[in-house]
Amino acid sequence: MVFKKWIYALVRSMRGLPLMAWHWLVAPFRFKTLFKGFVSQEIRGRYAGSIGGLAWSVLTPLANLPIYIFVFSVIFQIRLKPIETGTDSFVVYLLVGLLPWIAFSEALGSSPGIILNKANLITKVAFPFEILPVAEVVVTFILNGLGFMLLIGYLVIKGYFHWMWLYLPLVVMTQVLFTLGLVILIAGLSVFVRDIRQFIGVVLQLWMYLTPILYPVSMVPEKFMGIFKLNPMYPFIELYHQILLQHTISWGLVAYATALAVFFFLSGVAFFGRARHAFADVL
Amino acid sequence: MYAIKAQNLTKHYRVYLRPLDRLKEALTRRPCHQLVRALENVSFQIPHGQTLGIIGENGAGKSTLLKILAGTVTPSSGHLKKKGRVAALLELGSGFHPEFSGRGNIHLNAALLGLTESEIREQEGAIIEFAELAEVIDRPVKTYSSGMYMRLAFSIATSVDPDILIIDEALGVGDQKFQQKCVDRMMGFKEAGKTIIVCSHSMFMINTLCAESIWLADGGMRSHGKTSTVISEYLAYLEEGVSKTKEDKAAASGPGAPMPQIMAEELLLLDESENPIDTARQFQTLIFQIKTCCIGPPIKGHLGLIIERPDGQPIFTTTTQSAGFAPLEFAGRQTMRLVVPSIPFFSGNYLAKVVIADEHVVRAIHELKCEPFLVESDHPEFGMLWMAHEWVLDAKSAPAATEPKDCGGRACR
Repeated sequence: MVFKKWIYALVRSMRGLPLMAWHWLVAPFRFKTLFKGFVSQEIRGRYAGSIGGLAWSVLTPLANLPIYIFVFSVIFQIRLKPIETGTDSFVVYLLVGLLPWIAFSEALGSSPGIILNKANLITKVAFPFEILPVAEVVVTFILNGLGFMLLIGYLVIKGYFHWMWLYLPLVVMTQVLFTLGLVILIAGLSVFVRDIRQFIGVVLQLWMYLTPILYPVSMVPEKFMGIFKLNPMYPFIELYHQILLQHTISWGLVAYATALAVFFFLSGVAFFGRARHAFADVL
Repeated sequence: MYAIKAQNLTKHYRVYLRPLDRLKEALTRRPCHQLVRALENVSFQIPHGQTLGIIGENGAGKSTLLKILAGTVTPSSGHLKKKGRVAALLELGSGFHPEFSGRGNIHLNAALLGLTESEIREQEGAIIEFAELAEVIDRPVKTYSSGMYMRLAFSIATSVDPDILIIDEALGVGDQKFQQKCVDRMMGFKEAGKTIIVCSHSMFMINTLCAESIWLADGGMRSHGKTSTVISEYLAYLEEGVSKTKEDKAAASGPGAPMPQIMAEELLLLDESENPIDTARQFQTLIFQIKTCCIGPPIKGHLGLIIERPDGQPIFTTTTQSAGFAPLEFAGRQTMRLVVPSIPFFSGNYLAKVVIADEHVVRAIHELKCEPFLVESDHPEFGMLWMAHEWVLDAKSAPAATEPKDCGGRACR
């Protein structure tokens, strides 16, 4: 009968969830000034005092690029078949998957600190702190969007453009929602389980190797494919590859990605909504 | 109409000795925590435009109560109703980003307090002016002195024009001049009919600002009512504690020893038969009776008495130092008097002010003004005060017929 109790609790917490989710989505518009303030604080705060400034948001992701290329393209000799991947250039294939991944991994990597680092503010000032994770995700995607735009420009020059690209915003929006959900969840959870901060980096590193970024999916042995597809980042990265390089779109993957995004977003919202009252007590 | 209505506010904190205990409890549902009762059944109502003081020892639950009122902490049980915009100054400058300019921080902080963009633009100039930071406002806040930092924070927080202002011990910032500005602004809020809730260890501030007060002890309301009553109860309780700790010699010098605090409690005007008066006749004997109260260990200092015109122009000032006394030792409750055998003032309103100053008479520790008193005079001269005088005339111009008038010398004696 324990399960019955849990189901009741679940149903109870689901009530009002659509409204809460709606509040999250309109929060940046309702608290426009505050949102703008946090976004600009976040952007300027990241590079405050540095000479490179915004250029770093493009340069940092490229730091690992030579090593990836050397290890995977030169040593492991990964060869791409244009029929499968849409390109024979390892660099192009790598970047198309890597840049969206970096946006996701940066947002997630900083999520444990979103509430924890603002402890002073949260215990002393009453304000809608839904704004914080939203601002974090928006900033991360804007900054990484710069590099992505450069990549898009490069692809256009190289003749990769196709009308299929019009589906790209759909994938980006879904990825943002998915990332936001996970960021909300971890930001809230980290207040209670501070250890998350310590191991999130390792988890993200492992996660990246399990996502088809450094190698094409076709290289994954058939018997592992079932488990491999359980990786929630798999549909997103694959969709980028499909749309940008192969000029196709698998609606099954879109449905999978959307379901993941909605599920994680709602879970995050539900958890955060219940836990937020305890933040000031624990911080 | 009530601005704030609190019913049975209770806050219990679960304190876990180790983080692991929290996990254990969540998984096994077996309590692994210690319960801290920070606040227990606190109920009160504040009408619009009232000022409420909250006093109590450290750890009595004052901050918890203020956090609940401000909305950052959710009560474990009980109800709270608030009407109007609430601005809370629980800590000055909590939201500042050190790398940003003062101006940038104004924008973010004001937004945190709920101002819209147009309101912020409107207020920006006034905020900078009040903080007296016009020259440095575009410099990063990390280059500010702590006084400048606090001035900016206070200026932003009070520019919100709240209906309800909650302040936690925040006014002890900046130099004397700025402190005075802060107090003036608070008084302005009070006069504008705002609801203010102040928590402070400074009885003087509570006394001047608040009509009603709450005394919190161990999370509960020990007393609630007129400020003067609550304060004297609280002071009496502290005094009791002090005398107890005095007996207990070891504890006297411990870190828990209370801060020395001294205040002038009462300034009374008496006539020569020691009856309180508010109207005096010129040349009568006037006694200024001063009651002081010292909480905690005795303090050395001097007493001063200033008589002023209603416009604040001092007429006469005397201190125990100028009279040649060594610094007085204030301890507990004391009564002292300044006797003026003959008051030389002409008709008019006057004000007496007692000042308790430090032993060098550099810093005023506490001031207390009495009600204005009236002096009546039936002398033909006029002005502010009567001086001994004598006319010496040219013999030719003096008409022998008139008797030279006795110039009030009789009354002077």
